[in-house]
Amino acid sequence: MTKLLPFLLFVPILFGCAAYNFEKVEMNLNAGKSQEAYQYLKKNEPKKPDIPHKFELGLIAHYADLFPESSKAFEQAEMIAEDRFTKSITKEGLSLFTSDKLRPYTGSKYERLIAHYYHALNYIYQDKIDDALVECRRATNLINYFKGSSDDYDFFGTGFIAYFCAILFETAGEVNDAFISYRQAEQYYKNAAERTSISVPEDIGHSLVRISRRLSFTDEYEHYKRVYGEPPAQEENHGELILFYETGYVPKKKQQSLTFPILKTDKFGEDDDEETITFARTLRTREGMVVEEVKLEYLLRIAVPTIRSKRPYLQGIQVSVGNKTTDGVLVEDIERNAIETFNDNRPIILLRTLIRGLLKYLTFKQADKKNPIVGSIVNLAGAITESADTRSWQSLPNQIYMVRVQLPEGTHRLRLSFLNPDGHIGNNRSVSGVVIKANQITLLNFRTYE
Amino acid sequence: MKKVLSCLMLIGIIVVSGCGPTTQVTRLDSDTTVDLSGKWNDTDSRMVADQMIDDCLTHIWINNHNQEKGAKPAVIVGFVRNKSNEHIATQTFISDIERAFINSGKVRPVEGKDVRDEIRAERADQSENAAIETIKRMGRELGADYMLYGQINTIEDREGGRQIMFYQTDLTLSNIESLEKVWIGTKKIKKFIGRKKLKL
Repeated sequence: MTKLLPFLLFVPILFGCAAYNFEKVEMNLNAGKSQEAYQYLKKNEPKKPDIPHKFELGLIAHYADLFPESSKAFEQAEMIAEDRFTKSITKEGLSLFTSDKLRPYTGSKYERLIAHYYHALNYIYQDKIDDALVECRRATNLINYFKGSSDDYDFFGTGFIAYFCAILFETAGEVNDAFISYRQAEQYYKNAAERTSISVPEDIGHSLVRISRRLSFTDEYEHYKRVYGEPPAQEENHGELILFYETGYVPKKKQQSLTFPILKTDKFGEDDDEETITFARTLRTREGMVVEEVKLEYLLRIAVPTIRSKRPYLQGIQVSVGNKTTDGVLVEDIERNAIETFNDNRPIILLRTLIRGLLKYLTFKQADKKNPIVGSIVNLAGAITESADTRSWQSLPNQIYMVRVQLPEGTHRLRLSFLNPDGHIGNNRSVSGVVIKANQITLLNFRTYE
Repeated sequence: MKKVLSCLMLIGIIVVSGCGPTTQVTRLDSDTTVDLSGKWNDTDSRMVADQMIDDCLTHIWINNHNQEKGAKPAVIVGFVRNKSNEHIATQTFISDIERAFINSGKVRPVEGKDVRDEIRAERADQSENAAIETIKRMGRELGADYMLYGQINTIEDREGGRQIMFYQTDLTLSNIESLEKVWIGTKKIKKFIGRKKLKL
């Protein structure tokens, strides 16, 4: 029984404080039960507030129309992320002997940015435009901070957020701020285009023409008109509908186990001058190598996270009102953001994992020298604690499309046609009671999970 | 053997304790200044309201009004727009301004739009349901001479763990009849927020 004690104590490390199973959330969402999904997440909240749980809670509350609850969760998530700027030496150190899961999760940069999109929408649906604009200013500051923190910032998600903020500023009548945000959106989309494959949406160009003319910025107006052409004329007694269509789920990170042979000829662990990082780099080239048993000293097992594309069945939208049909435009590809961010982080994840594996091996070796039974226990403990850090905001959509259409003042019924990968209609829904006011913007978002 | 077991137990205890409840409650005087996150807080709201209203009520416009009208001015606190990058409870700030006005005894604050509508509804209800000798009459409200309105702005500068938050509150007092601006006040607050890179 005494021998089992250390392993029992390691159990909390494996499961951490995360007490929820995302598959249950997903099942409820897929069945259209966002309230139940929210209740489940709320009931299974970690004892200590944590992310990504707060992100999940915020988004699911948003879909359940629990806007104040959603905002509260996003606010807490942002505070946790800010607090985690300060790294804990203890946790960083312990993670090198156990698992990367022990490192406090701050959320990816694109995750932190997109939280402001949902947070702002919460306020829009509560008719609190000033508070929605606060979220835009916070997102803008966060982008500036990310830009200033790294010379090779990837700009993932920034184009969409700046575009969304430009629309909100325009909705609130803050035309100059809208102009600045449209201009930033244009630049950010260009900065990230090589890796996200999303070019500057045509509407951004047209908005720049429209707003520079309204502000009497003659030089800018001439420039943007030359580049993007004249936008469609604003019709009288019309307002605008802007609908964000969110489809599918961002792919989840999964765990993959890898084995690396440590050979009897390796000097690692015997010579004090041997550098762990250098040997870890050597080992990285031996991934999955077949080795004769006589040459083998130890099989190092490690677990690393992986991520693979998982596009949803529905990948586009058409919105029809009466005889008028408008196509949606892809404005954000969260899957690409997730995969590209992961690929950027992969070398350091692998290196950290190998260093951890080697430290476990060294601990084993020292224990084994003194007592082979203790060595076995240490070896087993190392194997049990080895698990990949697969944390991410899992309820995020895979892609976001946007439809911007002028409609006559009044109450409308929208027909939403969702497109399959071949561009044919894969599913339909209708949304009634959409109120359009003259010269104003009505904002909506809609999610499918297929 | 014992050393290894102790080491493993220690790690386990540290992790387990990380998930435990850590709430501790201490009562504080409501005037105590406590800066936790560096964001706009109750102290900022109270301090800005007190100092700005103090400035407003020592300005020449109040003497001019008293001489001209021979009575204390009636003031309504209109809107304070939050143009900052924080969710500031502007209603709390408005209440702080109204409190400062009332406590000064130099002006007669009247109710803002939302409460006014509520009170009018109550009066309308009284005219149908209250005993006749207790009914409050219509058309006896004190019309405001001036309206106070303004906005709160922020500028944020940040690099690494260092952050400067600059708050600027601008308030304007306008004559409701003539639209003349009789007082403009500005209060600035600058805060430095430092975050360590490492902790134990």
